[in-house]
Amino acid sequence: MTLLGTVLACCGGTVLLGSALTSAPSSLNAGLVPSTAAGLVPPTAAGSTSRAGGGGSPPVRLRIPALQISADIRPVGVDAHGALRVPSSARVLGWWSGGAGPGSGAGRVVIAGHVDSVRQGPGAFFRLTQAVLGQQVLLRTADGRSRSYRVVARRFYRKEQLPAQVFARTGPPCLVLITCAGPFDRRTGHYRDNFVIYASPA
Amino acid sequence: MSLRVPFVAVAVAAATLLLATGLAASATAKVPEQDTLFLRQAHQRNLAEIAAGTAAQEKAEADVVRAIGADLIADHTRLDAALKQTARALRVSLPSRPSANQRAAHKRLAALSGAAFDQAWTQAMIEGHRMALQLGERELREGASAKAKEIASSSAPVIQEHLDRLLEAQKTLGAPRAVPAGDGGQAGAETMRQQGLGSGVLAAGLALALTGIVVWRRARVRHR
Repeated sequence: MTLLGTVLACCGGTVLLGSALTSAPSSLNAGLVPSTAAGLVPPTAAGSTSRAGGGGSPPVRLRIPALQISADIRPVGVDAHGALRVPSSARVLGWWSGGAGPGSGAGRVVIAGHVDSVRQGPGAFFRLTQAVLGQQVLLRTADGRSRSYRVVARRFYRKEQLPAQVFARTGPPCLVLITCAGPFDRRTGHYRDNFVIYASPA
Repeated sequence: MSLRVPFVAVAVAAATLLLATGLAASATAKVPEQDTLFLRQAHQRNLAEIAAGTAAQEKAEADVVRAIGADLIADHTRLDAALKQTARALRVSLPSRPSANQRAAHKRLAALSGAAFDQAWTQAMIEGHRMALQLGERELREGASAKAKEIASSSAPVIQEHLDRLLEAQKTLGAPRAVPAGDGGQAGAETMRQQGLGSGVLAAGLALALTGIVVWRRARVRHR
C-alpha cells in the first residue's frame, strides 16, 4: 500500500511538472534569433537590399516538405498604417519587397502568410507553428533557382510588440516566415500573437 | 635733372606696383587649392543639409526623420558659422548656394511625400554624409592650412554621429510594423483546445498526486 501511494504520488508529480513545463510560453519559443549586426557586410550592400530585394531574385514559391506546406509567393508592400499587405488570397504568401531578396547578401527575406481566413478557411501557413528547429525550407526564385534554408529559431510575439529586428535589412542573410497565432479574439476577429520562424541558408 | 625726377617717380611707382601684386599673389598662394576647395565644398554641403533638414520638417512622415532633420539644421548651421569665420580669415570666397547637383537632388526629394519621401531623404542624407566625411578626410590628408584642417577635424565627429543615426533610422524606415495574417479563428480554436487539454492534464496530475499522498499516509497509519 505504501508502495502504491508512493508510485501514485510520483506519477501525479511527474504529470504536474510535465504539464507545467509544456504550458510555459517560453517552451514554445526555441533556438537563437540570428543577429542583425552589419558585421563584415559593407553598409552600402545592406542599403542596396532595400531596393526591390537588391541583388537577389524575387521568391516565387515556398515549400516546407515536413509540414506539407507549398504555396505561391507574390511581392507585397506596406500600407499607410505600416501593416504588411499580406495577399487577400489565404493560400498565397506575400514577400515584403522593401526588404532583402533571396541571395541578396544581407538582411531578412520576409515572407508572411495567413494562418486562416474567416471566408477561405485554413491558410498557407496553417501548420507553420508546428515547425521545429532543423526543418528544411525551400524557396524557388523568379530566375528558376532553388534556395535551401534550415529553421534556426521560432518565436511568439504579442502583435503590438513585434520587434523591428524581424524586418532588419542588415546582418547575415536570413529567411523570416510570419503568420498569426495565439488565442483568437472573436469580438475583434484577431489573433493575439504573431508567430515567427527564422531560417538560415543551408 | 628735370628728366630724373619723373624717372625716379616712375621707378618707385613701378616698384610699389610690383610689390603690391607680389603681396597679393602671396596672399592667395597662402591658401593652397585643396584648402580652398575643401572650404567651398564643405560650405555647400552645410547649405544642402540645412535645406534638407528644413524639407524634413515640412514633409517627413516618420518622427525619426523629422528629429534628425531638426538636428541637421542646428548642427550644420553651427558648423557653417565656424567654417565661414575660417574662410574670412583665409580670404577664401564662398559660394552662396548649394551646387547644381545638390539643388537638383533637393528638387527630386521635394517632389516626394509620405513614406517614399522618408526613405529617399534618409538614403540621400546617408550618401551626403558619407561624401562629407570623405571631403574632410581628404583635407586632413592633403590640406596645408591648419585652420582649414581644424574645420575638417572638428566637423568629423558631428557628421559621423548624423551618419550613425541615419543608418539606424534606415533599418526601421518603411518596414512593416504589423502583420495581419489570419482572421478565421480556426487555428485559435486549436490553441484554445490545446490550452483546455493542458488544464485537464494539470487537474488529473493534481488529483493523482493527492490520491497518492492520501493512500501513502493511510498505509503508514495502518502500519503503526
